[in-house]
Amino acid sequence: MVLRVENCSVEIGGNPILQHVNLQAWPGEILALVGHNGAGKSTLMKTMIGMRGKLSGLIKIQQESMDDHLKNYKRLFSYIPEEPLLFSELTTRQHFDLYRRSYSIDEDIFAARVDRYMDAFEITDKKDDYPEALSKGMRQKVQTICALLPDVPVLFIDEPFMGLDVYAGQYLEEELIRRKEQGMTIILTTHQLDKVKALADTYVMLKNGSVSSSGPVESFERLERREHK
Amino acid sequence: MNRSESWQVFRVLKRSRRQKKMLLYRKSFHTLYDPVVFLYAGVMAVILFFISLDWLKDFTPFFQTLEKRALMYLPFLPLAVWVRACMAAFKDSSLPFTSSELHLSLLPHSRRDILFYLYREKAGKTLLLAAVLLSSAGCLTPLSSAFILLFLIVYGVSLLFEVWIQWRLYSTPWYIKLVLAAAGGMVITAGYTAGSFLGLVIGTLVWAAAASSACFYYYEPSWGRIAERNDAKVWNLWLVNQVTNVAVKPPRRFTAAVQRRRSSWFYPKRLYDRIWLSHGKESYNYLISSLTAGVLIIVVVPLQVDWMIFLTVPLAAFIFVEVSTSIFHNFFKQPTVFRFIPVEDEQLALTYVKWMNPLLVIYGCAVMVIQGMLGFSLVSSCIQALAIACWTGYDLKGSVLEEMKKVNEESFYPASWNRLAGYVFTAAVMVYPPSVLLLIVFFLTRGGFRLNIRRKRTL
Ligand SMILES: Nc1ncnc2c1ncn2[C@@H]1O[C@H](COP(=O)(O)OP(=O)(O)OP(=O)(O)O)[C@@H](O)[C@H]1O
Ligand SMILES: [Mg+2]
Repeated sequence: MVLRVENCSVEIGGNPILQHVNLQAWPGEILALVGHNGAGKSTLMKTMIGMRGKLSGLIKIQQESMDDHLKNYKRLFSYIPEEPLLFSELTTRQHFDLYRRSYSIDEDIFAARVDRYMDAFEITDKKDDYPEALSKGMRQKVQTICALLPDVPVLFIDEPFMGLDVYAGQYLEEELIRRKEQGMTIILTTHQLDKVKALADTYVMLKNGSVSSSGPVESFERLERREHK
Repeated sequence: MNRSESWQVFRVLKRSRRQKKMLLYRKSFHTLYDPVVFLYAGVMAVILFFISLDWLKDFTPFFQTLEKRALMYLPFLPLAVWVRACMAAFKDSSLPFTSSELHLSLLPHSRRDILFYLYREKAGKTLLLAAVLLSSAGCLTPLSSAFILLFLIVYGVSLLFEVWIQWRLYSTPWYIKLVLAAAGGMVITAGYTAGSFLGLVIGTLVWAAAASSACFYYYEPSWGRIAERNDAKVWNLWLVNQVTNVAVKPPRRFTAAVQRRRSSWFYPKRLYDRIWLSHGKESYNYLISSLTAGVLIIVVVPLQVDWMIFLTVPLAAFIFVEVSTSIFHNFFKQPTVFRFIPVEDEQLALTYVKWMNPLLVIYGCAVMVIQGMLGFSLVSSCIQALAIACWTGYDLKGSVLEEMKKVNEESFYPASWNRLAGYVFTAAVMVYPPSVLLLIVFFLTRGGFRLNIRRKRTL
């Protein structure tokens, strides 16, 4: 098991947002977090990456618990937020470089990946632009590339396909499957159920801040069919 | 990841920030900044430096007593600096923790490390500044170097704590800051009145203990708010956005509700200042010649026929107002870059008035001079100069605001009769100073008039 969330509860300003959430993921698995708007998907993700404090519970990636040594824990994942979160002082190229330094990515692997991704996401001509000169989708692309650069065990993605054009979405889908086959665990949230079926191995459905059902994605399809009837 | 990696990343970020800021400033201000101005300013600074050097020599005994007294008050310094930190913590977080630093702390860098780097940088900068200022004071004045060193040590150590205290206190509730500031002030006054050194030291220690426990107990920074504040500060957002049409920060959201207080943003005003300074530079000749004409009218004519002063002074005031208004009007006829900036009209006009007002002092002086020559008493000439300055300033404001409405093609009632009355009253003050009462009554009622007019328009 690579990611383990046990009994995790979160409050924001006194309101319980997540209650006793349990979740686990194995290497080479794509786990989809699904649920209505406001179900708590993004909150759960922010909690797992340490951006939001939790009230109680245990969160572990591999052997590293979030509460013991946050910095070591943070080296084990990368994250694509709901809304692109870029450095205003860095150009596209400098963003990639900052991620290379932060995750100590090997020079050769880095160069190859940057070239490949910039080509695939069609932002090669934007490599010296600052974030405010990019469109929303381009910012999303830069953010996505940044998160795909390091070789980390877990990748968290909040709404990966929002704002991406068809080609980029297609490429991202393929790339996620490729990385998964290399053993990466990917946690993603999405409202596009066809993507869930095409990509995910397992799903976790949140409802009002607690897990209402979970399991292999086939059972999700069954659940969906039952709800339709 | 070891520490030095984080430090490298932090430095890269800082360097890029500097580069981008330079780029933005160059883009925004090349239209206004003139290297010649800097040259003149440099020459002036050098001249002033030598003048002040010479001038300081006369103050040797003063500095000697100053040194003795300052030594006496040195024990107060740390607490005074910390009380300053409490006050500053209301507005400023001291460590420039922006959203980029926040973002950095989501990557594998610990937030503590980043805060430590920020602290080091900030403390280093303030210390360096203090050292430079104090040592240049030591070179220029006859203060002894032992004293300077002692002062620097005490001040430096207090500064190191100040940065930390201010950062911690920024996130505490307002009453904590207030209570700490008041307590510090009380300890200082008590120490001062009792004149007891030991009491002051103990008081300072107790205060420091209370402050640090408050800092620890309440330390719960709302990172989103801090980042937002500092973003605005670091990027000088509004100004640069408006001038370059580049939104420096893409819209983003760390916390659900980040309240902005628009009113506390002083950047627009600074922009208006720049606008009028540059426009003033262009209209320089026009302005100077009309001012000279006004002063000549005030001074020369009454020297020939002394009762003419009753006419010339209001006339000069009228000329000044009309010329100023037409300079204001010209601004809107020219195709400057600032025409395309969305500005708040009334603020823009008021800033213009603010810049024109000091020129009235010249008129006031001219009136005083001619009165002195004609042998009027000092009191009456003071009243008259003040009256003329006030009236002119008032009329200027009114006309400029009217002009603004004209430019915007809004409808309004021109206040011609009111203006005429005002000038008549000013003339009356020139004849008989106590009729300044008339002018005051007029000011009061005219305020009423304006209200009525506005009410009528909204109906
Ligand atoms: N900063 C915040 N302050 C207060 N409440 C918040 C905050 N962030 C989220 N919430 C609340 O937490 C709940 C869950 O929000 P969250 O963003 O996790 O939903 P979500 O499942 O990601 O929804 P969506 O599908 O719309 O992205 C919502 O009820 C929301 O109102
Ligand atoms: Mg969400």
